[in-house]
Amino acid sequence: MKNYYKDLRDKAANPIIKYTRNPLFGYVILALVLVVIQLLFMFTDGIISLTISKAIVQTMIYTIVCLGLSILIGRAGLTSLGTAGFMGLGAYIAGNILKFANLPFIFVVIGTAAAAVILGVVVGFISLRVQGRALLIITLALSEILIELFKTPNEFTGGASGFTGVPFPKLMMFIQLNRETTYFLVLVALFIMIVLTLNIIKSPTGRAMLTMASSPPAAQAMGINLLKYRILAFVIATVYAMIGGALYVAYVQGASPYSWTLLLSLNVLVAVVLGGVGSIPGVIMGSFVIFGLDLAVLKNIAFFQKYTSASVIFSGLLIIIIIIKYPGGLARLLRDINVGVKKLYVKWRVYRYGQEA
Amino acid sequence: MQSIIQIFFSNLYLVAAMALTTMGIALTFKTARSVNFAQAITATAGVYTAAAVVAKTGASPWIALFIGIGVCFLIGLFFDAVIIRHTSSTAVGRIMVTLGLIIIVTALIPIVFGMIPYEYFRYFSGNVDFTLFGMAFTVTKNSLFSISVAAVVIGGIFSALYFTKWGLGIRATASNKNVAAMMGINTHRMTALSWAISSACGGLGAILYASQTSIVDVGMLGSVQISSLLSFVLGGDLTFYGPVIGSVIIPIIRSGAALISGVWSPVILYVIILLVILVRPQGLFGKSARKKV
Repeated sequence: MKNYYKDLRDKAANPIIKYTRNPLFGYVILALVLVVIQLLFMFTDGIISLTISKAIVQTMIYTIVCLGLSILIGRAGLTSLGTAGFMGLGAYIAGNILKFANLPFIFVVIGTAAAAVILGVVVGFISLRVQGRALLIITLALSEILIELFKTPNEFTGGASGFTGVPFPKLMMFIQLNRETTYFLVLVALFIMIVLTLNIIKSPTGRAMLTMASSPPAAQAMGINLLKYRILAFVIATVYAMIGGALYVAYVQGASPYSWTLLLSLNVLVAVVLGGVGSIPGVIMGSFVIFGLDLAVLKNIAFFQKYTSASVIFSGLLIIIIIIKYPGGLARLLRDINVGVKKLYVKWRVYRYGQEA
Repeated sequence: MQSIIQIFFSNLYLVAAMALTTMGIALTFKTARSVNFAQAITATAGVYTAAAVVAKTGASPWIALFIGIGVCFLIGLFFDAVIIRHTSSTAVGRIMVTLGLIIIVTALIPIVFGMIPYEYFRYFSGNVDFTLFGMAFTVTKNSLFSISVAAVVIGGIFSALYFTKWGLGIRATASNKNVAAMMGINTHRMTALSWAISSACGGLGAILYASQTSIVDVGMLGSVQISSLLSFVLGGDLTFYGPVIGSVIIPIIRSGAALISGVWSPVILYVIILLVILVRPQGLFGKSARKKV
């Protein structure tokens, strides 16, 4: 036992271990890798193709959306199928601000988030009345209302033919971004969102939500205000979804009402469940499998280039197999691999040096 | 008033398709405890089969109707026996699995049937004109055929549910799976059968729908599915008949909304449904359940 505490003291003093133990360490490394990939794409010829860059941006945007839903499902125990409609609304609001006012991106985000707070409060109040499947279908109906509004001919959304001609965003009034540099904007946004999510999960708010998820009556008895935290959970989810939509419109430079469908909402839900509910690395992996794998990896393999539908079937099979075999999601798989490797290492030590005293 | 009723009569084929689809969703939900989002795409596969049989072999559409329903029945059986049965017990997990099925079947349809959209045929051509309460209406014969087939099939399923041994087994499984298994009911067979029958119901509804609209493509049932899910919640998931009645109410509201404004009718419909569910979260025919701590 004495040795154990001595070990801990040594580890705390060791600067390398001190930094690697920081919860943000992995995300910083991931961000650096992503920066290097984009720099390789910009300054070399052909090592990284445009498809991969696009796939990474797509994954990053949907990761933000999925993080919001992950807090909603994993922390607050509520489900929503309204993601597509919310994301679409965010895209149109941001698109209009960019197109007609061309303000710096920070103002676009503030405007979108303000609208998201209003929408989130409305959905939060609804969630007090209905639960479970009914909530799933109600949020679906809300999203369908929004989508029908997008499709009706008007100036705000461009009707069924879509909304085009959005300029790339400006940073700080004078730095004009282009397609390559918007990648970094999305990356920074994702990083901020991850830090925010980590803080929400660790805060008293996150813990109160977790209590509410396991038993609402018990949480109420402990003095947790259900109304406040339900509304807060929905506000967080809609803000994340609408900021995702804003980044989408900034990168794609337009939006069509036909991209916001029930299938998109279901895909976001699948990405969260597939990755592992409530786990940030899981959500990143899940959204990569759903939104990035096809473009980034499978399109480069000769077999899948020949049979394009095969890649879609592959991802469908992957979803089914992972959910049947690993109900805990990819995050659970990662932990199992980690534990397995550690066990192997211990076995190897025993084999090499003999049993420790 | 005359035009509202006329719009409703023109949408009679939609009522038939929605009632059958909702019946299927209610059946799988009650026995297997999962909302089957893959219902629409299974039905689309059935329509494709029927259309391809007519186009490739020149067989009569009546034979194609039964082949299409049979294919849907087999797909439903396959889904349950091979995939759904082995899924963990969480409800969200099973919904996710049906989504995986949607992705796979959507990708398989162009491979099996080719990229060209098919056409479907009306089983009866011509209209029926009649007067009701001194107002003149017109209905296509095909719509009348669809609604009567739907009524017969749904009536048949209900009488089977309440008057046969099989129906007793289904209701027992729906009420409590574990107790039903202890009482000697083969719950695996019951769930598999209810999946198969609900898929076949969806397939029949989709073929009737396609016979009126004559378009066969992958996204043909998108709006029908959303309306069916809504009518499922609107009617309440406690009974078998609630969702079916809900699926009749929704087209009535829709035809009323279409009179106010053609463009805004879907929005008005969804807002009305939203308000109704907010007032009665358990659905029109449901009882509110109290939860013990």
